[in-house]
Amino acid sequence: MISRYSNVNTAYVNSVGISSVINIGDSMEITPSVKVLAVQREEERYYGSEGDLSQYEIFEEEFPQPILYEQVTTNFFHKNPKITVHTINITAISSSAVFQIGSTKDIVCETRTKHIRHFKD
Amino acid sequence: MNFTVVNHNLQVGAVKIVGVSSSSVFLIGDTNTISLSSVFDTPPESMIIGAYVPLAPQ
Repeated sequence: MISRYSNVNTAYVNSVGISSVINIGDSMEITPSVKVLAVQREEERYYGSEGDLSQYEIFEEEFPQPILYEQVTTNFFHKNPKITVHTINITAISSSAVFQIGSTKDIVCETRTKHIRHFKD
Repeated sequence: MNFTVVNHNLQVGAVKIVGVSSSSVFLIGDTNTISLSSVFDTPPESMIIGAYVPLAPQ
């Protein structure tokens, strides 16, 4: 497929967080991934030795993927080969997120989050 | 299966987004494939009430 031109006048992104990508221009492959162990405690306490992710199944198990039953033949006609956006304003991107101005071939993102709340007796 | 796309004009004034998060994509352009996976685990046993002990010590 021949890609279209991307034309953006102004883009503002306030913050870019864990394992995220801003790409201006074309790319072939973007594959961010992140594993998060999010612990909320009633009072602030941090043990430096914590966080062996292999002890939680969620960080190892495979993602289910869609099964493709038939071959798809694609045809693209660009009557106007330009995408125009005047202004973009994004407050935040985070956790394997992608913001791209331009064209790409593959984007593969993975996020695994284990959330634990820990209260005192 | 044959899949035909005809792209005419695509012109946008302003886009305002608060957050793009957890394997999400905001793309101004074309792409062949996008594969986004996200798992979030917070089962009942992920709420612990008791004395503080290190979690998953290394």
